[in-house]
Amino acid sequence: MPPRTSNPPFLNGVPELLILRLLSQRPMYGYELVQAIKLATGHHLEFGEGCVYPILHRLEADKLLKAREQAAGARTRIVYETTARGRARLAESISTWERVSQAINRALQGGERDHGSAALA
Amino acid sequence: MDPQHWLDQLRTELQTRRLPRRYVTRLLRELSDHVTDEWENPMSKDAPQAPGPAAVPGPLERLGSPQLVAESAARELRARSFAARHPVWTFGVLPPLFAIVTAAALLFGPGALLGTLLDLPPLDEYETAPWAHIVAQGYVVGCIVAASLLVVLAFIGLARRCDLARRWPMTAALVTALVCGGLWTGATPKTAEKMGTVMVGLPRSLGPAGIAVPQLLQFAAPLALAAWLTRRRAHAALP
Repeated sequence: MPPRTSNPPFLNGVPELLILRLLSQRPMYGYELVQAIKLATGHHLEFGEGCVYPILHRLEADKLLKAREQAAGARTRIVYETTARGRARLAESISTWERVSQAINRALQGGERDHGSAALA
Repeated sequence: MDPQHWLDQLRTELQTRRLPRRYVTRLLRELSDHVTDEWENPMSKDAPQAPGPAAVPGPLERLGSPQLVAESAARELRARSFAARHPVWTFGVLPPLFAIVTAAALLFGPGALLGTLLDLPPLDEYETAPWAHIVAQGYVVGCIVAASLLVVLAFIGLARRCDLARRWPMTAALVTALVCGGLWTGATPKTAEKMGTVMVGLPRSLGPAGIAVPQLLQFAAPLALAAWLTRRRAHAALP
């Protein structure tokens, strides 16, 4: 079986969250951002690195990111940074993520059983 | 695989999906930079590329296949379109407006063009010919039906390009059918003494008694076309 190079469907929205988070710390170009994602997640997330760019372009179109060209030696790189709207979206996404992950953790730790026994009591 | 070959394959995949040229250029430029950075990075150059159970994926494997990247780009671009962001406006409000404009263009455009080009004299026998009224009426109804079909076709195409659910083109067809089906039409041909008339408006009386055959046709045609073109193919789901 070929190695999977994209996130499973339940990770929808996670790349956006990571990209906004990392770019809110400092502006980065695509390759740098991909390396930062891998480093920040401890290489635990599998994703096609090429798929990061279409997400960056969408976030830029949504005005959550701003792109500018920056000279780097003989080359010109496209560097991304978050906008005020992007930072607001990041705060919203983090809050949603924490709520969802708490709910899932509660369920995994037997939340239904606790709830059931509480109801019986 | 050679990086240039990978980029060429990606370009072909993007062009196959009919993505805008400007977007393709930008994406290829950034991915080309990514490949160069990957190549210049000593850590990635040392990474083994031979297939095997313990092999670390090479730079191009990590980028993903050209098909995967192109599909991701197409999906993200579709999600950015106005239709995907505002489907209620696009499929609920715009179709009847377009239908009315298209019907008016079909109704008056060819007639004015023929009148200007040919300068046809009015024929007296038109007044007494029984088929003249039917033809005039049929022309008006035909223009409305043709406009509704054109609009439904356009919005089905738009929904397909944006990869939207079937309910959106069906919504476009339903609102178009309601507006076009609600139009009452009347027409009389031009004669030597009288100007020809075209009347389009709301029915004089609501309810089943006020509905005529042309209105039924104007209502049913766009719905039938949309239902046919967006029908679910049961056999497509079979393995």
